[in-house]
Amino acid sequence: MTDVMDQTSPQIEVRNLKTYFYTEDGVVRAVDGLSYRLAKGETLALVGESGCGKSVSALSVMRLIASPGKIVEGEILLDGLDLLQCSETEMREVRGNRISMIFQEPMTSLNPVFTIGNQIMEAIRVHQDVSRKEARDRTIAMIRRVKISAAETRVDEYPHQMSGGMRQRVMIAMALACNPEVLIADEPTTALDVTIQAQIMELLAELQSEFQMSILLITHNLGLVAEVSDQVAVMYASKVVEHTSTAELFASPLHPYTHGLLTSVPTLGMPREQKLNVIPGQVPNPLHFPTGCRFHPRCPVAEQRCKQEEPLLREVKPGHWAACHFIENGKSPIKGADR
Amino acid sequence: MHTYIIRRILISIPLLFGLLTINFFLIHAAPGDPTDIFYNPDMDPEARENIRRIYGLDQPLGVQYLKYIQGVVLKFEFGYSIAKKRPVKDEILEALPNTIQLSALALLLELSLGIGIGILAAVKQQSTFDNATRVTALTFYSMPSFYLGLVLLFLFAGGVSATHWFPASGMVDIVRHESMSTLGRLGDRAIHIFLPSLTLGIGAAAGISRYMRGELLEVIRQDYMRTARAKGLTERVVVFKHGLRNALMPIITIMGLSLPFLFSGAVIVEQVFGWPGMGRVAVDAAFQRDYSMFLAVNLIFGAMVVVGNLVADILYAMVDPRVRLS
Amino acid sequence: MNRIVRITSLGLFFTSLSCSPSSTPGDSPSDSAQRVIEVEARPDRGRSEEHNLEFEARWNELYNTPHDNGDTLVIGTIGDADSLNDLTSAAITGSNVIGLLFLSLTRTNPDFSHAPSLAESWQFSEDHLELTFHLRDDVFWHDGVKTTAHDVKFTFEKQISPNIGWATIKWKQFIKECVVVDDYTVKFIFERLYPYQLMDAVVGAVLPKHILEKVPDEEMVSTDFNRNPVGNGPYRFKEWKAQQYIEVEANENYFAGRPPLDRIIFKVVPDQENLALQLKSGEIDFMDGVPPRFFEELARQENLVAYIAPGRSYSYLGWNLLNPLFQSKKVRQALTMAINRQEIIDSLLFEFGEIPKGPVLPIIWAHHPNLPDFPYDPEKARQYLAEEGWKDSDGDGWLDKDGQRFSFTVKTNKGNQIREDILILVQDMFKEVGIAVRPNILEWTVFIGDMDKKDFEAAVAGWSVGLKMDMTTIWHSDSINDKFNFVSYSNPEFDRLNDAAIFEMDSEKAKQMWWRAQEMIAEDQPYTFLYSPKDINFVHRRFQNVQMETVGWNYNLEQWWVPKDKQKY
Repeated sequence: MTDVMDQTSPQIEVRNLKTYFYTEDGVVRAVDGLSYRLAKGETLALVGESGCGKSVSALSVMRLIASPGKIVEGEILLDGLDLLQCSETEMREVRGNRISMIFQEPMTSLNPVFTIGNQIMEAIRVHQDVSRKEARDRTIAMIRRVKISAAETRVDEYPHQMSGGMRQRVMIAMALACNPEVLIADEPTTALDVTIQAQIMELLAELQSEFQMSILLITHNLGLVAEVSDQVAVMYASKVVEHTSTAELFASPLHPYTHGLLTSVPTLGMPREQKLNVIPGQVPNPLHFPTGCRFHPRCPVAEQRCKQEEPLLREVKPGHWAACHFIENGKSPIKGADR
Repeated sequence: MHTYIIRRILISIPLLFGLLTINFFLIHAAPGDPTDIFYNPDMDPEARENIRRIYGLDQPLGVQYLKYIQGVVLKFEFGYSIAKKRPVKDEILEALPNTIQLSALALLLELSLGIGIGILAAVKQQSTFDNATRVTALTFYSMPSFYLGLVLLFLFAGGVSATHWFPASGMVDIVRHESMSTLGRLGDRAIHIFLPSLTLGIGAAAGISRYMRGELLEVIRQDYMRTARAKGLTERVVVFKHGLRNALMPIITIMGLSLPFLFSGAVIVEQVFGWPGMGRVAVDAAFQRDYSMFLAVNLIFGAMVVVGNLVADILYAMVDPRVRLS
Repeated sequence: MNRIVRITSLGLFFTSLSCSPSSTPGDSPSDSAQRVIEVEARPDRGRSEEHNLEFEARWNELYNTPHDNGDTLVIGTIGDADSLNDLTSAAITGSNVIGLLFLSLTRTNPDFSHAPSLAESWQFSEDHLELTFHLRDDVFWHDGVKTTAHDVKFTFEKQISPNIGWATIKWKQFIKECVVVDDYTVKFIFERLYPYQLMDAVVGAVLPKHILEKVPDEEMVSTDFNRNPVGNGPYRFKEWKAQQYIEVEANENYFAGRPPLDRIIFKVVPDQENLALQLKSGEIDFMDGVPPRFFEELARQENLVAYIAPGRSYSYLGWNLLNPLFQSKKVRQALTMAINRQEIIDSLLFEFGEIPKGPVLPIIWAHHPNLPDFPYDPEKARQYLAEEGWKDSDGDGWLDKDGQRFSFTVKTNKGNQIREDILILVQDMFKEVGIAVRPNILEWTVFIGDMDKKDFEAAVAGWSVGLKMDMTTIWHSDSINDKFNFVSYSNPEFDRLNDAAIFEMDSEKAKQMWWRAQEMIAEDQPYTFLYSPKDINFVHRRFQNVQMETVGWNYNLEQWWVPKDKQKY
């Protein structure tokens, strides 16, 4: 297990990222002081409930936040280059070339009026000075690589002629067409059947080693996290509350929220009579986050201090960061948390 | 595709035939008859009877109908215009190209202005341009075309001498056109068609611009637009390649349906600007109870609806790969 | 009065949008006098068979005095022609063009008397039943063929053919036969004696036999000649673009010499605002029947000269005499007195009109200058109505009699703004005396259909007066059912007088009879005669020798010319 936070040159590092949406109702702090690191060739899973800011943080990395959203603070370092300081032109060079992204909905993420070949080729030609013919050849090769059969004919098909799994493969082919350093996969399998999910994740893992790229996997599926990621960052209410290696996290979750998350997932071999844990209360409204620790209204161990003082993300144990006042000596405040 | 088009045209034939039949009995049921234009104390009732007899108006309606249909079906003859004293076909062949010219240019203006402004307004949503065009579009959209025509006439066709840039009526300068060079004639035609086509097209352009803006804003929110941006495409390519084609699809439908309206809009515009087209033929025919002319004009308007829908369907199929004509 | 402002607003629009410098009251009187010319009403000598030498001398003067050739006259016209063949033409534009392309046997003088044209001279036989014309031998059709007596006879035969449908066939009803005496002499034989024999013989353009004899009568309505006419007049046909323009060009071989203007173009502009605008901006050179609301603006234009001609038509409010409401003469007189006709003229015609007292207008020789009149007097109107039993017995503001309220509908046709506006004005005026009026504006064909069926209570309509003095078709009781007496006026004494006057050869006696007939109508008030509009014409001032007359603005159109240095085209 490597010590992520100490690693000298992370592939991508996000520091204190704040992305706010200025709506008529007020400022939505969708991402509010997010920090994480993703090492070269590794997979970092960003985990959290819906609405915690995972997807916005991913789009922030791509700098694809549209009005009324705005990245107000922070640094996003891609191999040392601060993307937030880049011009739009420089940024376009990064998108689809050094960082690519695949999305949750393969059904709607492809443009219905262009052939898939056209859409993949477009990604190649925008970044690389190649002829049409060459771009097409590479497109076909790419389609083959994501294990779509009869690539020569399918290249001229339209998205509506393909199944959801096929389309996600096309998305992957498109994303990897320029051999990016980082792939952001935003819930890549959520919309797919379970069997297809596995195939896609397998494909991603295969391609990761082949292309030597880092993957930022955004998901709420802890099962998936356990299978594929090296590191995990748990997000709650626009912030990371816990960040460590996957094995460590599952072995000894320290933050009460992480603990709640883990116990709310059924695991194999769990006694039938054992009840699933439910985290009481609701995900806080990003317009009005609670004061102090944002988790305190739902936290079983919260005290007066939690309402007033916001805990910082600190290294509570070598290679294990968490944001809770009550973690002492690397022990969770919740009894029996260590498994 | 070809069989589809042919089938659609074949289907429309009985439709148009029915239209012709209904119109035939409707116009004959309307009060008055074509000889009313000779309503004048100097004219003896005897002379009116003569004219009725010459045109066969004294025969039973059923007989008139059969004769008319026989002419249309067997000889593609549409009878004689009582008011124009010539075969209906001749009058229409003279007027129709003029209306097509006017409508085509109006359509071009409608689409280029409407789509162009719609795109800009969508891309610069909530900007001054967006707000200004929204107000302007609403103004033009709700302004009756005869009124707009009169305003344009007074502003730019002689009402104000300082801005007398355009002629007030007609297709060419009837005195000088003959003696102009080829280029001069082209220019002469251009300045004559400008105001009428603008009047005809701008209301529809205003409508299209709002649809276009709405559609594009809708499309911009789509996932595939985000995908396109994530590829590193420039905003221009994202909007114009990925956004436009999708946003245009509903516009094509609207356009196809609006084609007949363009023709009926020409009725008013042609009157205001003295444009010698089908609109004026239609108005005269209706008021003068010029039966044969009225029927032929309505047949053409009916055919316009059929063609408009067909063109929209074909264009739609060309733009949207999910649609197949069969 | 608010309503007046509203209903005339479109007319004001024209004036208010124009930015040309407006004339001030300080304009020199001589200048404005030059630019607005009142056309003199000549004594009508339409029955006369004598030549008027004064007019003929004036006419001939132009051909003997120096003038420049060249330039083009663009005439603005609201409607297209339907045919340029006199046998089949029904539209006014067509007859104006035909007047330039074709000759008739005679030409009309400003006093309606006859001047030589195709016929150099004519005379009646002793018994006045044969009329012989001597034709010129130097008149050629535009295709080079000579015009002869055979053409005259041919034309007559076509005019009376029931299979052609010539609109004024009635005028030839007393002509038994047309006989060719020799190539240049032709004789009309009449069935009976009457005052308008000469006029009936010459009415209609003479047509080329050598072209039209090939056309069967039934095909005359659609023959190519209708749109490609070959005439023999001062101008020859050049081009006709449907709904755009009709162009004629000077006939170099015209017997009286080439007319001065190279071309005359009748430009079709179907909208009056647009026409007025083009007149102002110079796109057209001439317009007749200018709506009065444009007068002030156009009169300010330096380049235009206005000609104001006496009215040749009148509008009226007709009472359906079959309706019990209107059967009392006194009621009808009261209704007339309830209407402020001067106000109608002032507000709707901008003062360009006169109140006619009867159906025979001043331009007609038989006009009665001192008819009984019923001027605006609501008080007296109420009194007359009260005498007839119409009183406001229940105090609701409306007159009633036997429990019936005095109310009726007035119909008129759509498309004539002044008539539509009149309905609103008279509604207010009748309300003043306690009569409820409902306006009903109908499409033209529907309107005249209702008139024919007597399906109306009162109606606003108009007549343009014919050249011949004859009141039969509108007032005779024989005309109630199938002609134009739709108010069903029936007065046996009037019928007797009318029938006798039509055939009275002695002008003085005839005049007395017509006066008496007019007195009856004025007294009976089957119509309330509303107004007779003046005819406003504007012409560009570069045109010389423009002589507009009561017989028509185009009296001497073939003689208009433009000095070289002022020629525009």
